[in-house]
Amino acid sequence: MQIPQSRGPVSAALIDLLRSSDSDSSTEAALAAALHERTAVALATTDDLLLDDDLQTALFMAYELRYSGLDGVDDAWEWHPDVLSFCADVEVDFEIALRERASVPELPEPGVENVATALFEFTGADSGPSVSRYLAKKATDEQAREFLILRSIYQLKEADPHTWAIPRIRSRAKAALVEIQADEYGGGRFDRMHSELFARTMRGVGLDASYGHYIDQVPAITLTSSNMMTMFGTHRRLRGAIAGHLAAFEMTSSQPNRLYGNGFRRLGYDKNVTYYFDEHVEADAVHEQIAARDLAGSLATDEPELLEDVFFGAAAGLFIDGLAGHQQIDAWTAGVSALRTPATAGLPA
Amino acid sequence: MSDQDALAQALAVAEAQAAEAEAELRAAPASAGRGHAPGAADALVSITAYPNGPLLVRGPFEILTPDGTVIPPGRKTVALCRCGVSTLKPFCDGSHKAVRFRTEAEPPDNAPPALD
Repeated sequence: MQIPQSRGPVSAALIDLLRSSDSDSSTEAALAAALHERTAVALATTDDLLLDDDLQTALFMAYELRYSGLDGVDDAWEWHPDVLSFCADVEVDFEIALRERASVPELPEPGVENVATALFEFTGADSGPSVSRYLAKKATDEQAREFLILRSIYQLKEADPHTWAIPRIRSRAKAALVEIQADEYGGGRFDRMHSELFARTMRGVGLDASYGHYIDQVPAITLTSSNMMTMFGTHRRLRGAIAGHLAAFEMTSSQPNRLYGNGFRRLGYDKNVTYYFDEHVEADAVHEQIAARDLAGSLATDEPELLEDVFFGAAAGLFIDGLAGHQQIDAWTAGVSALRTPATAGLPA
Repeated sequence: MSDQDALAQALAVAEAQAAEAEAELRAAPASAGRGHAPGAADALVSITAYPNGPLLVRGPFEILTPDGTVIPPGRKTVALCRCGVSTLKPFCDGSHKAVRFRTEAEPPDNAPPALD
């Protein structure tokens, strides 16, 4: 994808470093030192790392090297010590912030049944904001497009962050994760891949479905949500959290997707646009059962030391996506855009 | 013959039977799917009753309307509604959670004892 615009000194320093591949080693060392220093200052002075545009943009960029790469940036940066060191610096505080603020419920005794029941109770009690009800009943056409733009940051790589966990877990939990992910990737059919279905929905309302096209328009919390998944997925240590995250995501998805679909139908869009959501009503009703019992339940039973992180991952996911939802609904009910800059620029009238 | 040899031979026979059953099923026309020997279907299709939720079906199944029309499953593993509230029947849409659908203890009391 394109290199995002910088949102402050840290993201600017990382962009300078990633573009310095042809520089001599002393220039590169100076750029790396600048990144390190600015990161330390930013982490020490940020009001809220979870809402920090500069730090989350920089982390998103560094993480994107693990997915589709950045235009004009040498892929070798993915494993470069300066980039890994930057990620590690931010991740320490990122994980602390998530653990402090996401409310983990009382843990059940290990056991597939106990874990699944506790996850269903926990996710069922989630009282997060309902973007889906707003979409179904109230959203304007412009707000519905903004919803797709915000979602596009993750949905155009849908399933990828959880796929990292496949080689990191074993036994029943691995088989369960593969079963879910295979369905996410369309069962081997490109045109049924969920990320591709989302792209079709975007194109259907006249949006650009190129990967990362709207990166500069989304607020920090959207990047935080994606970064959280990548952090959980790419650290073996956090495999319990990525499994719990997937379970909570699937368990709170089926009915909201029905409402999203209803919202786009209310606005006059046809099946070409609503298919993505309609498909998820059915798919996620399957996935939530497998994710709660066979993935999260089995993992927490086979590796009881991961029990707490399964619930941490679930809680963190609901917490961050709740923050994102609040921001959207607050903006829309105040009659302003939920994006950093209006999405209308460059769109067909 | 040692016990191990007998076990190996029994496993080989079972594998051959399973392969034969699978080949038979694949060769059969779709409309004949209901008529094959129960043993073959048992080896190939599984239905898992998820507590307080749907039935998950895995394997080479087909779902038919009363007049025999195939309902496309859309995916390899499907969840069938058993609370009666889904708006996507025969598939589950997650509605059982909203109505707090509860199932009997699993497995049912009349189930044969586990063999392991």
